[in-house]
Amino acid sequence: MLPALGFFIMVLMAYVAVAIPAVEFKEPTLPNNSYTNLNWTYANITSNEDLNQSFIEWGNSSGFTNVSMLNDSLTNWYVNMTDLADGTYNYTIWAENPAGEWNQSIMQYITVDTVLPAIYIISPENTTYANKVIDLNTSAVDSSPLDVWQYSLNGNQNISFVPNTTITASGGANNITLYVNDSAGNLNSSIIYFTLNTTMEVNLSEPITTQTTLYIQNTTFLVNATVLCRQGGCGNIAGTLLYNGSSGEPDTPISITAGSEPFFINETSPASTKSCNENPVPEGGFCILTWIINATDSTLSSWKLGVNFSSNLGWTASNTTPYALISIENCFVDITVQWASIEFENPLIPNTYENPALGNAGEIYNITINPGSCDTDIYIKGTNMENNSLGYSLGVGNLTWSNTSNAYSSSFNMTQTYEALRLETPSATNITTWYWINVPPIYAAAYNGTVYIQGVESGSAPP
Amino acid sequence: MEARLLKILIIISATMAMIQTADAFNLGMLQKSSSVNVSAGETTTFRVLFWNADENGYDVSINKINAPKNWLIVIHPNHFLLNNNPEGFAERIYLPGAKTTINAKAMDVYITVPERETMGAYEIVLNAIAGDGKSTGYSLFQERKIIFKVDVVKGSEQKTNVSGDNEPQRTVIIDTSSLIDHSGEINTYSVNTNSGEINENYKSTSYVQSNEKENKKQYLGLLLMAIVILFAWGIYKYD
Repeated sequence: MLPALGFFIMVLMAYVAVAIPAVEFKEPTLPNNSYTNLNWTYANITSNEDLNQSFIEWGNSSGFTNVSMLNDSLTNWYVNMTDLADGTYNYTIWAENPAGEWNQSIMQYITVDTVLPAIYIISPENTTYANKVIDLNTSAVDSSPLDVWQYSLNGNQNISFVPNTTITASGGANNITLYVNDSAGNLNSSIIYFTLNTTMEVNLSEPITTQTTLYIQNTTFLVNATVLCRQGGCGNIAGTLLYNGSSGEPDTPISITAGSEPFFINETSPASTKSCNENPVPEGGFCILTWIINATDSTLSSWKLGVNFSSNLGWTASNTTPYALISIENCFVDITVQWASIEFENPLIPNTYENPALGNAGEIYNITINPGSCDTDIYIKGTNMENNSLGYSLGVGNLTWSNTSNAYSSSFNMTQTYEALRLETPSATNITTWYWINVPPIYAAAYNGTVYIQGVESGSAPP
Repeated sequence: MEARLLKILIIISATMAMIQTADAFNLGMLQKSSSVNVSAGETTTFRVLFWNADENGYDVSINKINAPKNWLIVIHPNHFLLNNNPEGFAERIYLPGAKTTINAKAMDVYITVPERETMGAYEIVLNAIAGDGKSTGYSLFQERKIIFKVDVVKGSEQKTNVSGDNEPQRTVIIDTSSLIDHSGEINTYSVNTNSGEINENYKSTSYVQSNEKENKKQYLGLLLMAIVILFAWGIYKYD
């Protein structure tokens, strides 16, 4: 029984399939669920048999209407729906074969969207940036789904992206054009102009900026400043050495005239403004500028030094280093005695005389008045040589000294009070001294004593 | 051959033993100021910088040589280790010879003029002794004399002679540690006089308090006397 029923159903379906015309959509009919930016659309069909007539049932949420279709053959029918307002439509094709039998197509949907997407750019803005990596934050509003985002930075090729992302700008003026199209094929664009300032990171390494540094009047010293280029090329950079000549901050270029106060640039070809040898300085590049300064300030005051860096590029802002606080002093007393003791042959034999110190021959007993020192008076004195355990001593007068030659005859007896060794000694002077010891008949033992060197500024009372 | 070699070695050894090696001993000093005008009862401060550009450090001691009677002299620190990077408070100074900048140890001298000091010029003399004295033979020390001139411009009367009299003088010397100052803290002081050294350690606050106690005692005595006089006058009048 069941097999017979199944066979009957199959025969009925075959009859229906043969009897009812089958219609199919064909181009240029848009695919189902399409979006279009045109206010018209074609619906073309083809049938598997000749048709008497065909119409389209066209509707939207407001209602529907039937429009007869035209044909260029009995199997190919078409209709052009025009003057369509934006919105979503559905349509079905009805077809009648010569036998008077009707069939309908599947229902298709189409959305008409003729409005361009509205683009909103949050970043970048029409402003100046200091960081070359800039957020690209954007959005768009449209009735159709958005399809593709693209941007072109400074006219370069379009780059597809998905909001939000970042872009890398160039130093100076920039522009970015954003493109977005929707599923209906509407393409809109928007352009933003902005500027990127490249940065000069500056530093004053000498003198240091964290602590006051004292300098002696009429001595020269170095000023070292560094500039490092960030966020893009900095072009041609120049640095100007400044001091606080007319305000609280460094504002006045240091003079190039020798002898000028409070400073002058003490170089062969002096210039308060110097260009970097590395010009043009690329991103990540750096440059060090150095000046040799003479501190002539006769008022012995405190000053602020700094270096202002500037670029020939309009988008590279000038920058001044933190200032270094320096103080000018008249002079100091700075003595280097080139030895820490006077040693003699060990052991020395009692009842021997004119025993030279071990360093006499090598002329190691030097006293140096270091540069920056005032004119200095040098004095010398000594103590008896003692052996504390025995209680014996060797009088200080047994030690003799000379400041003229390695000849005992030129020497003076050491005293327990200061005697002038050299008066009014200018700075950067070296004084060589020599020493001898006379050992009278005395108990053989180790004896030790002390020699004192004193330096006082010339004109002061002797010690 | 071996004997000759041995003889040469002995000669070389003997020669080396007779050579003294040079060992630099640098001491720099800068008095940032040396004179000041001050009123009686006021305290003024002088700063002195010391530096040592060489590697080996050594001790520096500061001693008072001369000061006017009853002036309070505080030296801080008065004993410290001086090397090319001293601990504690330091100032940077450029050494034109070495073409480098070095940290200089800062020593402050606080000078308090007595309230009843007469106007005039006074002088305080300190002595800095630097060195270790650890060598054999003649050890070397360097000394520096430090002179401060203080002009008392507002006092009880004009002073007729410059200081330096032989009357006992009191100096307060800060001793921040048992041997070498590294901490920079003010803890104790000792009192010295010209007539004989009293080397007692006191807490500085207790020294100040003892003076205040003396003053209070005097005020109390005066007050008591006034009360007695008033009481006697009352008895005399109403009796």
